[in-house]
Amino acid sequence: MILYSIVPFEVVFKDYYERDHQSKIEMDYLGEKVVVVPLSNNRYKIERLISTSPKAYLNPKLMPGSIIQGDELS
Amino acid sequence: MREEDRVTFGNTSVTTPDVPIDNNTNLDEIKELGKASIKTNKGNIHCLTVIGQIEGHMVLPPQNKTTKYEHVIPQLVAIEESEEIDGLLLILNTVGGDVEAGLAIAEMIASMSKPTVSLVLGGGHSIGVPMAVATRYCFIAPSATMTIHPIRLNGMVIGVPQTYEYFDRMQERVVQFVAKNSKISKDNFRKLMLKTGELANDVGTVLFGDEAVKHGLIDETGGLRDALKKLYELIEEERKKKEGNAHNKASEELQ
Repeated sequence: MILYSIVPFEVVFKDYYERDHQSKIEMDYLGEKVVVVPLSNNRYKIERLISTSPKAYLNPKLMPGSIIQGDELS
Repeated sequence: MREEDRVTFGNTSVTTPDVPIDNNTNLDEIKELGKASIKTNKGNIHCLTVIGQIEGHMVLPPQNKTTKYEHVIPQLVAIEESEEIDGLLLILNTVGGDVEAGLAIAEMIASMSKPTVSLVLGGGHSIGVPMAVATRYCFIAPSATMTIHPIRLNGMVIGVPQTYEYFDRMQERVVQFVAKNSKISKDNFRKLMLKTGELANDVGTVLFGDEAVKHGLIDETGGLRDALKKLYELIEEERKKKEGNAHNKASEELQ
């Protein structure tokens, strides 16, 4: 990967190897595959959306960073 | 329009109120062309904000704010395909990022058929430059800056002339794209890229809003109002073109 940025490489990749890798789970949500990170209280944060439907990427509910309740997941 | 069909992204899809319909032309259209679908509002625009680092092949550590290309690219496809969206407003405030990801987004925007306008606020540095010029018309806020500098080398470097050759070619991709999509010449862009004495610890140039316009990189200095006005103008042009085509086709069929 070539980084073309005004921010130095060391700053961008600080703690890249040290950070703890959160457990990511792949699940179905609203008929689409999402990669989520578990939070407390049976909630999940969407990390990534895996879909071939372009429209799914415009759905705010499927946006990375949105929080979903555990019982909504299948 | 059903609520679930309305394509919105956060609160960023702007719907403008309808302008009064000219009933006569509407009726004429139906009588003459058998067509009743005339859109009368100014058009729906979609706003795509690109902030922080452009995240490409590697997931960046969490202290970085990133725009993920794997989300932006399908969004651009959806915008191009959506019947409800008439134009795209690209707002940029980025420090750069992955070359391949940035160029991918820029190429996608440059090859869209819908009207696109970009607005650079704060900064549009490094790979943000090709992204800014990719739209049909670009604006920059007078206080915004764009840093143009050579691609940097990181990771293992083999001390052979081929390394230089390789980087020169990687750089050429950016130079070519920018020269093709803006009014700046390749030579001028390369000159700005290799200028010394401007940046504290790097080769390159910082361009302020009006300087970027002077060099032909950006079309105009302005703000949100100007960008929206231009986008609606482009949407209007596009519509007229489409209507003209439909009219010609219909009259051909009649003959």
